[in-house]
Amino acid sequence: MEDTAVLIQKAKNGNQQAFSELVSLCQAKLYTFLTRLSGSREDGQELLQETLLKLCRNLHRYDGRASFQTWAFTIAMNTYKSSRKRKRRPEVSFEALDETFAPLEAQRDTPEELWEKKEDSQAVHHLLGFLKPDQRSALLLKYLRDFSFKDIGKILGITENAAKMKVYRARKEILRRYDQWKGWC
Amino acid sequence: MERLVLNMICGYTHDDILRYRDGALSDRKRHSFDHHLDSCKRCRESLYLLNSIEKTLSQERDPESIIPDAAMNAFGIQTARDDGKRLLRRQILPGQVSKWLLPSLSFMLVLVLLTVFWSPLTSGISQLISNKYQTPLSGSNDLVPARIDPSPSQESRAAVPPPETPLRTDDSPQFAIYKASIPLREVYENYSSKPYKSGESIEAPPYESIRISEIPFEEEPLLTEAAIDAYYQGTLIFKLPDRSVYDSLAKRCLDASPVPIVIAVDGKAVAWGTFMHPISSMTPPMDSFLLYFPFPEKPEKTESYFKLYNSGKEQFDRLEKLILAVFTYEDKLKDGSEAPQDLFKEMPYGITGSSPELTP
Repeated sequence: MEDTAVLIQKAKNGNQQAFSELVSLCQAKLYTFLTRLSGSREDGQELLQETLLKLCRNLHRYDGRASFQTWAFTIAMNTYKSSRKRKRRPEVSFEALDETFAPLEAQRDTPEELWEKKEDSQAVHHLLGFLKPDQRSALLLKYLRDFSFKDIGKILGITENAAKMKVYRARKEILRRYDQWKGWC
Repeated sequence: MERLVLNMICGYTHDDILRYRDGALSDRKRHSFDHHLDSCKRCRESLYLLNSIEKTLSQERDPESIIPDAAMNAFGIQTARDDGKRLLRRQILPGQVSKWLLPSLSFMLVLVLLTVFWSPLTSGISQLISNKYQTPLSGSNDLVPARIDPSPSQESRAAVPPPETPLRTDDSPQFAIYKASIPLREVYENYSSKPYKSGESIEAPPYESIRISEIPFEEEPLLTEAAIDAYYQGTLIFKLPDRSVYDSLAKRCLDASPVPIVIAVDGKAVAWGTFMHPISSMTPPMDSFLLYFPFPEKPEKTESYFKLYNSGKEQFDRLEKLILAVFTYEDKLKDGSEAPQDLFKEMPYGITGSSPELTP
């Protein structure tokens, strides 16, 4: 595979193959991110399609100041934001959490085991549903996509410190919600 | 009661828990928190929760973890799940081989014996199963009931291999795509029983006679499924219930791609053009390609046509030539260059040359 910068230049010149390669570098990552952000695979796919279209249309605007991936995620974020105006993510309720957790808790001896199995990832994503969209985005960009706080800041249009704070507050909010659900506060 | 007690005995805040997790507590506080953890279920669970969030999300960095195979394949990505052997290698450890192997071998032995001694029964059962449930083309792993062949002979059942792309039949589509992997010229000639002449109008062929598969869809899945199918299969023929559906569809999906399509309303071809989708092999920016026009007229020279033409002239040139060539079935293009032998498989980039700048 060629260097990203070369691919970008070729794609800007209308090279179809180069654009395909460029897209293949990030489309699966975008898909997981958008799926988790929106809360459903269907919406994730829809958002991915829109994002790829926008990538294609706006490629000539990419100036190389951020990495291509950061730029692609910025577009994905904007696509998600505009889609939210049309369609709201379904509300998450504690009742739904009960449904997710209760059977798991009943099967396990210690509460710690609740968090050790991969199949419980659904429960984690359930909790993510309680977050505000910007907090959820920051958390996903950090842990799902392993972006630096600097890049998260670029993608969300905020400073590096603000990005750090968003991730921190997102984690705190999850703890708060969990406490609330458990009746610990 | 337990909850109340926990709340009362635990004086640590969420900030404390987060700082502990991030290693940002002072040594003294950290030791104190370590001791506290032994007795506090709430703090222990909170820490596990934080760990679990990071672990779960980082595990999903590998897209295979959440994306269904069909979707991955649609994006042209090979998954480990595509390769059963890889999956087995990953999941079965050496110590587990006998546990997995024995039942499998037993099952295979039974299957072989059944095949040898009772082949009519087995072929009947397998036919029944394959007819009863077939996997849809893409996008979902749900099983859908399929149409059962009324009366194929036993010989033909044995001779005909299972279709690569199983038929998906649902009798309640609002509208449907009829997909044909045959060139339009062939469609025309089969339909009209006469050779195609350059410039001749083509009426919609009788779809029943050329139907290869019928895909029910809502509007959005159309964009995905049809584009993938079109990309791999060739020509698409759309049959829509009325003009309004076409109008809404045309604005959204009749952009350019190497895939020619025909749109038919009430049994008549009303438009044709090419199909583009971002996940098909990517062509230049879509804004450069918004070509669709009523069939059998040639492209309308609208204002947007000229605007688009001039904005992406070079690419537009190539596409226009392809479309005009397909449209008129001329062996020679206007500028004298040769039309591709197989227009329906040729990418627009296969045609070179340019035309003068146009003005409205």
